[in-house]
Amino acid sequence: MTKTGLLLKCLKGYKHKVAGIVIVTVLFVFVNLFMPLLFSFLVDQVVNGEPIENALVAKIVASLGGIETLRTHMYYGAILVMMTSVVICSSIFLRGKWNGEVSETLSQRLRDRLFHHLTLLPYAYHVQANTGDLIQRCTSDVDTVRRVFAGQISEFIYSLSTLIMAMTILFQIYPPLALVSISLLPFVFLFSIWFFIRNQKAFLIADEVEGELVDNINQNIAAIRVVKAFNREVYEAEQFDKRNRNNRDKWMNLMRYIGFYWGFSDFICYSSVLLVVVVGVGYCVRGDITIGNLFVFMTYQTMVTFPIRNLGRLLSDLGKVRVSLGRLLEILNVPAEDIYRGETPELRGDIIFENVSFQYDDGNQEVLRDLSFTIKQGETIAIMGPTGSGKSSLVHLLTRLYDYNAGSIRINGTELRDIQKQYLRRMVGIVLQEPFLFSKTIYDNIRLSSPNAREEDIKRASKIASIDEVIVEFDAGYQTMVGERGVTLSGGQKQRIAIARTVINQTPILIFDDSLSAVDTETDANIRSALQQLNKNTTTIIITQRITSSETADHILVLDEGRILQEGSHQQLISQKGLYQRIYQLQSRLEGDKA
Amino acid sequence: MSEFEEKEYQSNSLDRGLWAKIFRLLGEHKKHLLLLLLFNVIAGLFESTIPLLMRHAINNFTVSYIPSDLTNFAFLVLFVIIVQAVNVFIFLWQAAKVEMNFNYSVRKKTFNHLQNLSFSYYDKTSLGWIVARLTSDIGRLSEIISWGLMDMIWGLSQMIFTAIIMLWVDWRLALIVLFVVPLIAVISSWFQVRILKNYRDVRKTNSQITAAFSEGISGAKTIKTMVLEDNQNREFNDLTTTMRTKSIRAALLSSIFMPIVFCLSHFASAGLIWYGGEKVLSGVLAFGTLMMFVQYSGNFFEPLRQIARLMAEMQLAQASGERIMTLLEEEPAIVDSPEVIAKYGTIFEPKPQNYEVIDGNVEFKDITFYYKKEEPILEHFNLKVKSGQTIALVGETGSGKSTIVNLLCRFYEPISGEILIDGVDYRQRSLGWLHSQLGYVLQAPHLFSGSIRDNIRYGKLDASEEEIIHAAKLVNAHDFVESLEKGYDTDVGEGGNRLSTGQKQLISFARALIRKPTIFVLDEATSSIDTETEKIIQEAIERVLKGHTSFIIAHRLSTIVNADRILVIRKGQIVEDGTHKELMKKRDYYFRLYTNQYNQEMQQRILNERGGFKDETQN
Repeated sequence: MTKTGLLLKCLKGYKHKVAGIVIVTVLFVFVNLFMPLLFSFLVDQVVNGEPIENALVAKIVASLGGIETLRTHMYYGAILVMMTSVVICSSIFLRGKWNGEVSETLSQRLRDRLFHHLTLLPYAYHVQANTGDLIQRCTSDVDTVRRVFAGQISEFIYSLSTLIMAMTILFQIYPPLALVSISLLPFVFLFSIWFFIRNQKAFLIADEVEGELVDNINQNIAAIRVVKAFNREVYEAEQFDKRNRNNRDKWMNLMRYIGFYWGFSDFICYSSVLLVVVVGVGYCVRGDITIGNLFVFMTYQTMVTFPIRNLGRLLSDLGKVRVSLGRLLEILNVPAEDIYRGETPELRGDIIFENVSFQYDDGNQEVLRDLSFTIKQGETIAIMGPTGSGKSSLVHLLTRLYDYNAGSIRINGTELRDIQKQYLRRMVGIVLQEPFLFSKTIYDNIRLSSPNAREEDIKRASKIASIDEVIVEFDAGYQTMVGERGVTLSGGQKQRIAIARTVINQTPILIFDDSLSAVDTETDANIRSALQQLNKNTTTIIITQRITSSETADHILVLDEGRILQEGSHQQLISQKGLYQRIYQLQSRLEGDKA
Repeated sequence: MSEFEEKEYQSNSLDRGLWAKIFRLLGEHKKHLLLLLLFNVIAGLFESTIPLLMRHAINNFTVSYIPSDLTNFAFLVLFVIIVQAVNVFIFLWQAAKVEMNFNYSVRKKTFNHLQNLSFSYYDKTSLGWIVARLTSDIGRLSEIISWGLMDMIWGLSQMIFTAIIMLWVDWRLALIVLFVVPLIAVISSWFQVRILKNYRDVRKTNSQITAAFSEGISGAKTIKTMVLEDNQNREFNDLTTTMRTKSIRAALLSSIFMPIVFCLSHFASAGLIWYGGEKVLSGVLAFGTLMMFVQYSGNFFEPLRQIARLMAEMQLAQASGERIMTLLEEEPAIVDSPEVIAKYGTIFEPKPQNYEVIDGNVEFKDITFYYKKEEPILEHFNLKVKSGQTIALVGETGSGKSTIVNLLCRFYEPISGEILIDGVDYRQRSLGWLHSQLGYVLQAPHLFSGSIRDNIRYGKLDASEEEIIHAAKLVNAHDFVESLEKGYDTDVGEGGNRLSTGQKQLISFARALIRKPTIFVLDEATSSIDTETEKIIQEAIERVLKGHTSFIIAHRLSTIVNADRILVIRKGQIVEDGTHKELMKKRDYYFRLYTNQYNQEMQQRILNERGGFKDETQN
């Protein structure tokens, strides 16, 4: 997708409003410029009685009943002013309304699209993602784009069309004076561009210094116990004072520039008005222009110079949008996972691995090599092995977080690759090693994937996960909030809640990816036996480093470097020479000591 | 952070007492503030004179044209413009000075105050809350005191000058214009309050969206494995829809407000044309004057809008001010008595020459401690430790072992009973005296961003390079530091996150050790580290503890096998007390704990000692 493509997609159905904004802004500028002309007409022709030169104006006046009627009925003039005012006001209103609608719709669509896309990006992407950077893009870059449509575009059009229209009118009235009036504008423009480019750096520096200050505060408060234990209060205060002072000085310095900018640009702007007045008076005395014309010149001069000053800032802002859109596209252009395509056969839990090999896209070594084994429905199998032996990769394949490179995995006869991902993941419950809980109540966390669960289901799942007795101890029980605004849960408690939210679904296949490690041995055993009783037909795969967890399994696989080293039941393995036996012997020796 | 920022504020009236306190904080910056106000008024005066001068030129010179007069006039106006430009520069700069100086001094005051507050304060106050006080609240307050005040004065002076000039020139025409002023004022304040409220609403939703993004990204793996995509997208969509609705409402409110006020000021202009035009026709009024009034009628709109916005913002700033004041008025829970301060000084002005050197005899005498009265943690606790002994504390979470060391370090004080260090109640000496001789390694080894050298030096600010290396060697950190590309200059990252957990622990040992503390407290980290590093750390601990009175809260029991005394703490009581050998013989709680842990540790070790078992299986 290109930048324009993205914008067009997100503006779908609102393009006429974008056009509306442009039109209304131009209309506003037009009427806004008309107002001084109207005053000039009322002053010169009506009040002062000068002849009407413009044919169109003459026609309009005639249709209103001639200049005399206007003169005897001054409120006609007042009504004209009010009518113009209504046009001005409605165009301001419409512009504001449409600006809001367009920019907010755009940013909603951008945010929704980003969020949706992020949830669909492959597992591999999220393993490597830099969370802070992603959040930054999804928030501040979206906001940069939003601001353009929230007003910067109409501001830009306003400044530009004011300039063009005002100059057209002025040149029509009296070109020589118009030349005078335009003469200083390039300086205003160039000066403001120069200023904003030059000071972008100063802004960045000031921002950075402020960031350092905030960092310092963060670190000090986070480590306040160290500070106090080391009696470093004075030192910390001195360090902070340095940064605090630096921050103050950098910003004051920047503000001095800004003050200079406003002062100096005010000077140029007013000078250009003065120039027009002085030169204009001369023309007026010579009779080249009327007093009313001079008023128009003076008013327009003020109306044009100040927006020109804005153009510099606007241009530098609009440049940022390209960068922001580019950063958003870097996320949106990463191919997403298709979780909706594929078959949805009945899955009961018979799993066959045949010569399965797997290697990560960015790795050069096979993580799993030529694995073959069979699991029958209702069996519990334990997988043991050292760190990096491929245990986790193996179960990741089963939920298609990654796809295997060679061989075949079949569940009840269907090749895994052909099964719809969404369906598969609903059938295979997996408790991850480091589970993530959402900042909701415990209750909502447990029923996360089954929103229709009844209270007794939630309670039962918690009991299976041996967490019920912990939850009811909290002041708010199941309604306790998780995370910063609520209780801080220990690693073991988090794991057990994650188990509860997984077992609540009664999936035919259940996987524990070393997810009982933060739970003590006794609770571990309780959870496993509760699961056994729950459903005898569930196929359970447990990755563990504890022999007590594998003891009761029907079948045990010992993995190393992606291969199966040992395989069999607990009884078989303890009588085989090898790792499993060594661990077992260690344990029984200790138990012997105790007795 | 934003959550704390957006805390609702109920009262709508201005709290005079609070603002008086805030202005007292301004103290030293009063000079800048006065300068700011002065130049502000002058600039306002000039701003409204410039159109008057131009008008004068058109009215006069077109009627009676004298070139030299025009030249003189041009120079006069040019002079005025230059003065005005300088004015603008000066008052902007003064405003920045007031803002930044106020910002600086309140931050400094608050930060220093925070260093004095006790652990109990930090237990109940979240990091985010405090940081928001020091950043956004102070920022908002100084902004309103400088720029807000400036805008207010500017607007007021412009309105007053314009009104005076108009009334002076023609009071009847002036009244036509002034008639709409109160209307605009009422409408502005009505709208501004609502616009601001809407704006706050929008910001609140915005921070919810940011939080949702953060959850969606951090929880992506969970979302995927639990097939929550549709669910999450729906919830997110609800949020962005709320955001859209609220933002559009806010935009609508502002876009209704502006036209209404414009319309009102045009109404005044129309009235002028009608009434004034007839006056001009009948020859009572010069039309230059009429035009001047038309121009002036627009001058009230902007200042009124500014003032209305400011009044609304004052409410926000008041809430900020209130929170800052609450923080500044928070009393530290642990303070030294006046007699102690007289002898030993305060935290910020210590008198270290009066500090007695600690020998290291520690006694807990009949100590009772609790956070909540219903849940006592220690009751009539007694413990006597001889100088140089290593004491290991073992027990479950909540048994009271952390409380014992926290009391020893005087991060909390006992509710009753006394703690004697070298026979003297430690409250008879200062906090600085105790903490300057303490070596403390926390459970979470928090490092500061900066180099490894800086982090070790944190323990002793004037440490020489040799001392730093010596300390690193003692804790077995030297080798790994040297193996890093930049050695001791390696940046450890925020909170030390570029180092592994084990490395962080070693550096935090070195940091404590370089102080040559007389009392050493070690709260061992629970997080698992690889076998290799664990061995290194254990060696380091043994070496570090030698010769000091030391307390270890141990999670890995293998660490404390050599301790002089192991205390098993349960429910605030010492249930077992002795050496490892003695306790193992008892075959009680410690024995069970130890064997269980040993068992697990060994299992993991075997599993991960790859080479070892592979040989065996191949045989």
